[in-house]
Amino acid sequence: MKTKSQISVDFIIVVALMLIIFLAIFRISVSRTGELYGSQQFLNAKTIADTTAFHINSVFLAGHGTVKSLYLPEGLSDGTPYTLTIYPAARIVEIRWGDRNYASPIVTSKVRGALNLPYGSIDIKNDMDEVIAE
Amino acid sequence: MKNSQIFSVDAIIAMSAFILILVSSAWAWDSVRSRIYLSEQRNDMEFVAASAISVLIEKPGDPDNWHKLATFDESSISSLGLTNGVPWVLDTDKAAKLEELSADDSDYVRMKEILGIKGPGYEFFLNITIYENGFGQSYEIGRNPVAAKEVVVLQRTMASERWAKVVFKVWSTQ
Repeated sequence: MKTKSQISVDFIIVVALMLIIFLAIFRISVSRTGELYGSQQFLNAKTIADTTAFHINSVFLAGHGTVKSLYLPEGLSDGTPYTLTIYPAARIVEIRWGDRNYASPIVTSKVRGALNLPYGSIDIKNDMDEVIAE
Repeated sequence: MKNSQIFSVDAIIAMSAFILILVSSAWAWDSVRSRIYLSEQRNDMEFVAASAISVLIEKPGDPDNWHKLATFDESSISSLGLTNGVPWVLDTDKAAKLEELSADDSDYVRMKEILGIKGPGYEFFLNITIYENGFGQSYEIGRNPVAAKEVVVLQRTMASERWAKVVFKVWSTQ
């Protein structure tokens, strides 16, 4: 009988230790997965803002008469909705999703038209060195 | 004696191996994350530097006489440029004006704003050398990299009218 109870105490200690270790691993893996998911979402949002800023800058640099088309997806890669806004005075294109945001710089403050960029296809054109989004 | 089995050599080896795997996977994770961050920061700096150098050497600025304005700020200047109106042909008066302005910290900050150099701890240094009759006139604008963790260097050479070399560095301390 003595032997049995000793095994049981050992067993409980081992199981308790294992549980603690697995709980710790589970917690770490959940937090890492969340981080990974957040990074993926951030990189996707960053790509959208940077591409838009790149289009605005390149149309501005290319001069009068240049037109480029840009397609904005209806949400981030995981379907999260976002808003994309051009702030000419601050010289940035800002993307907002959830409670996060990212701004990509542009090199001119002369931008007008649809400053709250809608999803879908958008034309960005240079009219006498003024960038127009529509 | 049975209790001591938990701390047997086998168990200690197994636990050590397990802990080693855990620690190395945590280290690998942090290392990958930091590499991704550095690579993203570098991409970002390259994007900023490419946009800024292009606007400087391809555009005259808006207004094109920005170097003659009484005030230098973001509201009166919509874009900065160093050409005389013809892409790749530099106006030395504009380069001299930028050099003069960049000596002042607040004008330097305004310059970064107008050029779209807005990342965390981002600074820039622009060196323009214009060659004429065998002599080079040099203009130094911005801040030379000091204790920089990352530096992006872009260089352009212009051969129209006069030879000119433009070196643009965007660097970060963070």
